[in-house]
Amino acid sequence: MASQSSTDSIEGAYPEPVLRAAGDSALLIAFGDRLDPAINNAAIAFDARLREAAIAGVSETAPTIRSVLVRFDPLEIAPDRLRGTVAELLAERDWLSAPPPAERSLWRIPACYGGEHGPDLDEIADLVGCSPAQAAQRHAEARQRVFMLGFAPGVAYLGLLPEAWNIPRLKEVRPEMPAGSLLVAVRQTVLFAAAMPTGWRAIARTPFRSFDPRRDPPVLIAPGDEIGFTPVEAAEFARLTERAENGESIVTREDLA
Amino acid sequence: MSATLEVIAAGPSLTVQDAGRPGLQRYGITQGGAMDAIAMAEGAALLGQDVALAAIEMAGFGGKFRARGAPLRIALTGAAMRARLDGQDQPWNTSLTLEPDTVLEIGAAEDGAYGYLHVGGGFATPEQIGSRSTHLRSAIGGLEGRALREGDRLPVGKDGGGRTGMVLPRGRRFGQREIRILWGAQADAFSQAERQRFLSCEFDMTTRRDRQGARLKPLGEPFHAESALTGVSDAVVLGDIQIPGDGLPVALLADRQPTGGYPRIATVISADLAALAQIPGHARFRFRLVSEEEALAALRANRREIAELSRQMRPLVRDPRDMGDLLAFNLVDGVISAREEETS
Repeated sequence: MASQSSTDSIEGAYPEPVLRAAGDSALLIAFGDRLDPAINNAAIAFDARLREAAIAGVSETAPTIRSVLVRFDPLEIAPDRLRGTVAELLAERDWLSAPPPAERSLWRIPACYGGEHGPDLDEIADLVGCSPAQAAQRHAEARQRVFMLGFAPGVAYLGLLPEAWNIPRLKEVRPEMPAGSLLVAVRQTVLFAAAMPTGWRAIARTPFRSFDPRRDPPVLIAPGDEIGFTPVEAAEFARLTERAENGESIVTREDLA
Repeated sequence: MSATLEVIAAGPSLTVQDAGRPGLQRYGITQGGAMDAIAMAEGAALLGQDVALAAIEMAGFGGKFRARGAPLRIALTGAAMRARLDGQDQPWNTSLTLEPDTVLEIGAAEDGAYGYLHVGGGFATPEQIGSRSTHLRSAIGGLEGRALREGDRLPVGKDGGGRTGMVLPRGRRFGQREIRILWGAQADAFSQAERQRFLSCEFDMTTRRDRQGARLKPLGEPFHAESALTGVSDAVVLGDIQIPGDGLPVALLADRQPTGGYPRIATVISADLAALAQIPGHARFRFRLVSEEEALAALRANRREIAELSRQMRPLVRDPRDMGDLLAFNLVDGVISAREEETS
């Protein structure tokens, strides 16, 4: 059966989705415990199914890297009843074989590699085993998937980079890295939306604001989208930063079929 | 001239808050909003207005305020703070009228952590992403996305009017030192013995706390997960008790991150979230495991109490005709005696 074969072939996928209560007003439905496109597709597809089902009493759903959060009012829908409804929806198909979302985008985002905007580029290149210029080029050209928006408003978890990029996190958390920082570790890139401390290495910085409260919605990129970076020099970075501050769009979007 | 509230002096963390921004976790935006939602309902009841209106949340300490342009109806709720209106003691959990140029002085919290200052009509600071709540980390909401400071003048919305000089009973959440929990979504990462120890342990509410979370100091050994998680983040929820690498629990509060990679041993029930937020610094407390049914019964009771707040109000005047109303006077006395304990 389809459900058997897809689960067997995906490392880190659970044989059956795991449904757990998270307090008295939320459920978590997990499809696995790894960063994997198929597990992430399952979470995104099931989140879309839940939204379509529009279950009375459910106030919000949100996909994560590997699960779906369902927040609800337990006095409007009893947790038992909601669990039953969710189980029925889960049984509708093999979610691990779900395709990526139908409407998704490829974003091209400018980024300035190395120097003050990517202070760890040389060290990253050493760990990856290439020159800094090659590391910048490979990182920019790798089409990375948006696995999740989390941690803070608009912070995007991107991946997966090639195996050579399986580089460790820093031992110590470093002081704040500015908004727009692109940080790498364990085959992932995190795009920072605000200045925050981090234990990851900074390879570049983008003038693009992934979270802008002036926009509606304030966050443009969505889970399942793909991102490619366009390397720019520091002077261009400064010009683009000014344009972004004026509310201009400095990224391009294409439909991904 | 429309009325404003002037901040003459500001405590370290005064922020404009309302019910926050629900429904945006998919963008990495957690709901936020007031740490004590019951206090927001109390303020709305005292002023006879919508619970969605914005108020000032005062963490630990208040400030000095003055009405400008026109009198303002004010309500003071949440953690009782030492309040003086033009030098006269003002009991807490009450409504009052602040005449222009009179000064309302609010001091330290005495029996909780977060006090609230509400105005008739609510604060009319700009809405951002559907809310006036301040989220400091992303610099949105409130005034310029920041904490209030000396010299700020907060615009006030149109007040529908109504009487002041009313008092509400003190909520039972103050002084509550037993916080009810359900096991968290990753409780199975902890051994049975470790979970049992979590239930029998006493905790100290440390002062390492803010709107994002509170560090809890166990009076005993740190807690450790048996099976290491893979470190792939998952969604977290309000009231999660997370165990980071050092084993010292963190309670995740209103401005928590939307996702996290540390295991959560427990989740505080919805009915006790305000009580958790209001535990004073250095107070000791315990967690008590309840069933889902008990959690829902507590939530139902909690909602009923909120719905009945306006019927609980009593006039504050010490009028002999009201002396028969023991309930109201006991409550006012309760506030006063709590202060005496504090200073004795």
